[in-house]
Amino acid sequence: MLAIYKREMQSYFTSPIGYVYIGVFAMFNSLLFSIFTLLEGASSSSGTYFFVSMFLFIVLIPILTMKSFSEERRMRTEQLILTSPVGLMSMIFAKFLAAFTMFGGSYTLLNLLNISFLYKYGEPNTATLFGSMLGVLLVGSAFIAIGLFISALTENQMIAAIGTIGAILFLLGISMLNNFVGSETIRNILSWISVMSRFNNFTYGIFDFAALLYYFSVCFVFMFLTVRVYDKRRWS
Amino acid sequence: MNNQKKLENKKKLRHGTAAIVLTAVVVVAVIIVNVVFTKLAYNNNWYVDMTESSIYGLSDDGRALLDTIDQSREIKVHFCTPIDKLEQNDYSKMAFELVKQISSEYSNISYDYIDILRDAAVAYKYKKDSSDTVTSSNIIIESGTEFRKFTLDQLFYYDPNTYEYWAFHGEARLISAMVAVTQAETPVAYLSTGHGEYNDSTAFAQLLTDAGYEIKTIDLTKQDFEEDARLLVVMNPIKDFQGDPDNDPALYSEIEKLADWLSDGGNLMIFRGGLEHTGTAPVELPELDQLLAEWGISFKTETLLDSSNSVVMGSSQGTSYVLEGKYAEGDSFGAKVVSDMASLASPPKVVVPYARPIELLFDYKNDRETTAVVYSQSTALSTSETETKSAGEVPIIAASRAIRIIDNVETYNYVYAIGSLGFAEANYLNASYANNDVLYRMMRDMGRAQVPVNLDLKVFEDEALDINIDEAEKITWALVLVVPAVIFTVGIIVYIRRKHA
Repeated sequence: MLAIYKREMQSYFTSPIGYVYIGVFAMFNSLLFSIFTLLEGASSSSGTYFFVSMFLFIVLIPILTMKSFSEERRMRTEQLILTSPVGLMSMIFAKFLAAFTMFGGSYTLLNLLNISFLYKYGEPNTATLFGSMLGVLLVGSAFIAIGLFISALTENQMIAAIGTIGAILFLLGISMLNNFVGSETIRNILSWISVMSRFNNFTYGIFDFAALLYYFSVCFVFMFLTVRVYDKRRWS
Repeated sequence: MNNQKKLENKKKLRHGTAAIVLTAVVVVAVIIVNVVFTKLAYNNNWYVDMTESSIYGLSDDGRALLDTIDQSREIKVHFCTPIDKLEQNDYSKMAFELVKQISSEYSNISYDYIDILRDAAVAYKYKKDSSDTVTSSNIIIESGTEFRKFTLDQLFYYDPNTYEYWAFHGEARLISAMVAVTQAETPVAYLSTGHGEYNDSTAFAQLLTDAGYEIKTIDLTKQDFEEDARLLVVMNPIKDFQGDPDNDPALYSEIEKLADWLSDGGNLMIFRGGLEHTGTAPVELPELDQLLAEWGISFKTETLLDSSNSVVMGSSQGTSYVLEGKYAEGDSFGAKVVSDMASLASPPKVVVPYARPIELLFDYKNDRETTAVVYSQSTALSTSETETKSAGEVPIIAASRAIRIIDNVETYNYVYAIGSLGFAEANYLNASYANNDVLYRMMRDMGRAQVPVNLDLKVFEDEALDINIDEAEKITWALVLVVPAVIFTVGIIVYIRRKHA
């Protein structure tokens, strides 16, 4: 598993994709940070920044995940995976971990730089800030798991990317449907599915254990589904 | 051959079916675990409040007050907005989470949603009179036939300059309402009449009701105090109370009734304003003044103004007569009335319009002691018909209390003197100023506490940054351009080197 993880990490940094991802992420993430905090000054709102920054994931996470499995299928190297002594779950987890390391590592490091300015010019609540960061990382991990699953379904990277964008848009936008739904039962179901409604508590300064379980469950389910996809291919 | 193919297909089908079933079982199991855990977490408040002032939680002081409620009394909290929509709004979520936590810890307190559009009869039940309305922002605390109704705004303090909420005061308001609706005996606040009093302040009447009082009027020339009388409010009289200058034994004058009632433990809250906006100068009321002098309080006839420390609504540039008061400090019982607010980093303003200075005639005399509650600022001037001169820091809200020993227990009753009529008007009894809370705290001191208000404000975290725009722009350019440029440059170098390796 470690070998697959290392290989994946190498592939991000030996090709332009890793640098493009980190560079674009740094640019837009810092822009959002400045707009909602530094340039606001007295009206600074870190909660709004964390909330809005998730919309960057619509584009950035598909960049990370689109080639994970579809590239293997296109290059016909997935036979190596299917016949590898490494278990499918371990292999998929290694790819997930590599993508999450790229996402989580760059997000954490860039935000530590950004947040240092909040401490320099204000008195932020550390617990709320880091709770919000953790919430974003959890949302990102869920999107990565979904992206990997969609990548496993197709050999075309573009289709994988578009499919992931669609899925992320759906999950981010589903809570907005609540404004148009009259039935409380349906609104509760939509909120239960919605990634945003689970995330909001973190921006309020609430560490929600149910949300933690939700995100872990999404990661697990989509990685499990990815295993099922490859298991089917193995035996078909 | 065909049989072999059929066998293979059968194996595939069995394996495929098993795989689908396994997948479905796992997914359903995960969903069930999540649903169950989410429900449990919701009901048992399995979350950590990371805010500095624990905005979403119930404080220990709050629990101590809720413990005083008779557990056999059912209390219902009605929200007029659907529960899921309450959780989507930053501010209503605070109120809802507080009630949810209270409900989870106290089995006699529950909450629900009432649809005021669909159920007009329910909405009608909570209207105090024909002009009152029930809106979707209302929160209603009910027990038996008693209820208290709040709007969401009433649970917060807001900055009159920015119109943004800066503190949550819901714990005190909601818990005091819960205490009030479960009181076995409803104390009565009497509003005196017959002396030209201004009893038209609905905001002040609402405050008394929220504090747990039933409001009645009393004409002391014709009526005596009832057993249930706890508080007498005298609102800016312009005619004197009836005295008994000839010591006629057949006459039980108003002043005698009032004096005896105060000596027996009654409480008095008297408002007497200075030069009103109508231009009416304050009048002298010898009988009333003499009674107040026995309690160490004397209203002066001047009116205070202060160009440096005055406000109007929504602005800090004030009309000179609308004073921004200064909280009393120290260990006096007057300072303790306002200590919760005075101790905040940014205390809410207490506004005293057309203030009359109050002289404290003694500190301690005949088991009565006096103290100031609110002063004017050092820049205050006092003006009369003949002159204007520097007044400095003088009491504009003062208190006198009598100490009695009953069954070996020290008991107090109070005379609160407010040198302003406008202090209790709707303009200043709102979430922008501290007037509401000053009055609540006074009511708390009066005999058996009706309003448990010793609960801290929950001040929102101040995320303001002390940074000038030039600096912010420079940092923005550095973060948005320089950092990504470095990363792209490294990427290009690595790519070129690998290409030519």
